[in-house]
Amino acid sequence: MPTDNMIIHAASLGSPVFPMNFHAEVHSVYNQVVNLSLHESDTIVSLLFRDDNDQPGDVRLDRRHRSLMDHFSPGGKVSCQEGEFTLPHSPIRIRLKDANRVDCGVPDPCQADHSTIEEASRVIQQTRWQKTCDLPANGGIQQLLSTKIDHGLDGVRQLLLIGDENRLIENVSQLVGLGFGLTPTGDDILIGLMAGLQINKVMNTINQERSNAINSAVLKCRGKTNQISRKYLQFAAAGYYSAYLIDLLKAVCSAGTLGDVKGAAEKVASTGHTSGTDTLLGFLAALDLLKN
Amino acid sequence: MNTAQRILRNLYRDSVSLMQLSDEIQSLEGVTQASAIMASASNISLLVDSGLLPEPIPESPNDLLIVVQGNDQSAVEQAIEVAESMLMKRPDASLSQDVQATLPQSVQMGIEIAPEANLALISTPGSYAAAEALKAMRYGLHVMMFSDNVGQEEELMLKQYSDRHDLLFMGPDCGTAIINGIPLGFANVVRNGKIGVVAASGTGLQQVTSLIDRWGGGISQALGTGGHDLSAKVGGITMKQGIRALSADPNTRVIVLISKPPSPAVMESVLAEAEKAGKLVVINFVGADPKTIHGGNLYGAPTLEAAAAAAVQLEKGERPHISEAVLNPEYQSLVENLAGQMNSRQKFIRGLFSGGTFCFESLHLLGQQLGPIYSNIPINPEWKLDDVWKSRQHTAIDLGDDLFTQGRPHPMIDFRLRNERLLQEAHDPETAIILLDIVLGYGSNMDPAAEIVPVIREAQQIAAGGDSKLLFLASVCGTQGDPQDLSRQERELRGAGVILTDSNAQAALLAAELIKYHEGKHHD
Repeated sequence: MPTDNMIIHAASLGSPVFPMNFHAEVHSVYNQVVNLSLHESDTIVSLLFRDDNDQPGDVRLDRRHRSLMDHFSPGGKVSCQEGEFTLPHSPIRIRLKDANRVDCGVPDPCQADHSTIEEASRVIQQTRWQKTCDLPANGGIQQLLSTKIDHGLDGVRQLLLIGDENRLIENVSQLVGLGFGLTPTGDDILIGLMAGLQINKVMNTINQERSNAINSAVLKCRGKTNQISRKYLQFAAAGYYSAYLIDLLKAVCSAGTLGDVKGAAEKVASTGHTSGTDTLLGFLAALDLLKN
Repeated sequence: MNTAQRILRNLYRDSVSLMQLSDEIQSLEGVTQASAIMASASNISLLVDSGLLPEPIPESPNDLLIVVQGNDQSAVEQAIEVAESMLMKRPDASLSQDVQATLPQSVQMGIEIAPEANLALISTPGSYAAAEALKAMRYGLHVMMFSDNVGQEEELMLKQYSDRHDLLFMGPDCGTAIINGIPLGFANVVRNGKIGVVAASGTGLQQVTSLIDRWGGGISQALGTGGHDLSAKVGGITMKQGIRALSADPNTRVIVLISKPPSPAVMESVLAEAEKAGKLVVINFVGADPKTIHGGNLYGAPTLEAAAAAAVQLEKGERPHISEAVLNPEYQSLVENLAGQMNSRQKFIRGLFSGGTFCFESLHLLGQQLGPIYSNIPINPEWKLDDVWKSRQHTAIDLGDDLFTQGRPHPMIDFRLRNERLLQEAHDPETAIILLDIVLGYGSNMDPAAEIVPVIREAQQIAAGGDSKLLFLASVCGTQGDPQDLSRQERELRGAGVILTDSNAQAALLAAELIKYHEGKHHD
């Protein structure tokens, strides 16, 4: 347990790293995460109390420091000066200076081709099936949600292929913010889709401008979801993803073993309650576009 | 219809909690529909389309929206209060003025509420199960541990403790038992009688107890040992506890033991215990040669059905006739006609099992008759499937294996995975026979026929499109007392063209015979 004037060293920072001087308020404390809302901007910086899976723009502290979360409560003030967090009336100092920098950007161009995409797609599909949990029925809402998600995703796929940007924005806006939870299903799917489409830069299956259209559509619609999910959509549109999703991209792109792909897909699937499997759904949709 | 809604500013909860909350609120009296969801434009549109919101409201994606609909305005407004208090975790808010009883949070509290209890059923994540079981045993309770993912060292420690304190420890991974006529976990409703069963196999126990009931016998007690009890490390501690308990039980005349073949040392110690039982003991080590079990009060049976049949005969005071596993004449007479319906491209059996022991027994019987049978639980390492999602030649899959069930209900409850695989096999022109087990009883799907018959029909159409006729063979493991109505289940399956046999063994033997006959015809 921390004692007076305890310096805690952050384990890592996910790129792109935020500016090291700011004042913030605790936005929410939730599931191994403390979210900070920065003054003077619409930015959220999250402190992740876990041993892996860095996120872009966030700070990761090892799981053993989880007791520190007790020092944060919604509305509480936090400041960061020269890369050191302080809380009023608290002895805790969180130092970022020596933290590892984790590259959450898209890996270098890859060696994927149609047959490796096909195989990877099969393995990821199976992994997603295995990890998808049954959800409470919630009356007909869950079924209606699934229908809207299917239609939305189908629509996005079609519109990406034909290049109708206006209708694409309209379609994407129906997915953004759609679903339950902190990062709604629609948002997670779009993140997965944008990640998977990064592979198009090598494969050139789809006109690259059309492929990029999804990113700008998401940016235009990002205001339609909550502040926390909005952050991840913004990063995704700029080519930054969670460490697990980056690992999956690397596994698919490096034409490595299917075991690597499976392992990476399992890690993605394990994130959140349904976020991981929703992200894989979007990723698979991208691979589907690239295969065909 | 009355609706109430409330916005909770800047409140975030995970998806599963929100859906569970919505389900709980929906179950309150006077409430017809409810949802708790972030108030994004997309979600508001979803709620309008579902009829929960009569019209759109201003979006506020950072806020949580609760909507409740019902027949009575005061009921929906009260439901909103309950929902908010649940989200804010204020336990004193409730619909009724009555004091809510506190559910026990520990074994000790449970004993205070029910001091007469003498059995603890443990169903927690594996990493907590051992500690809870030890607590229960320290209070003098016997234990049935449904939890799996408990290490063998821990299992050994727990069972040695239970032995020293003369307690019965069933498990880990024990999903089936019948204690004093009460089914626990996955179990069938069976007649009371003089046959006691100790099984290291859930579906093995279910098959034997169901057949005993069907053939006029009855069960005194049915004890599960868990899947690893007969490992070299654990040494069959629970099986031996079970033998001793049934030996001492005045209501048990015959004992049946069921397991996969244990190691020679463990088999020897179990058989030694059985010899001392002072009662007649029928033993089926699934797949092992029953001739290795003989003499005195011991009877080796080649199959689960043979074990059940022998036990019934012994219970009646008759001498059992235990033969090798052979196809009953009533099914033999079907072979020529059924085999004639297959075309020359159709060659292979595809077994899709929800019960691991049913799959295992079928693998042995089919393997003896036909040679290589590929599986995710092969009886020969060379017959392991490279890709468990794709069949190869003759294949039998245990769909209850951890590989398929992580994060999903067991296939005895949820038929979706098996149904998908069934259709996949139907698309393969080389598939001749689809072999199934249908398991009834408490814990299982409440209407298996309704789940699988439409898929069987669809599969038949797929095969017909390719000028093939698919044969469906199955056994229904269940009794007339089971909640699923055995007769109706069998009627609906037969109505879809499924050939039903009395037992899993007979279904496998019939499948093998059909293939042999079909191969013989096409070689002539």
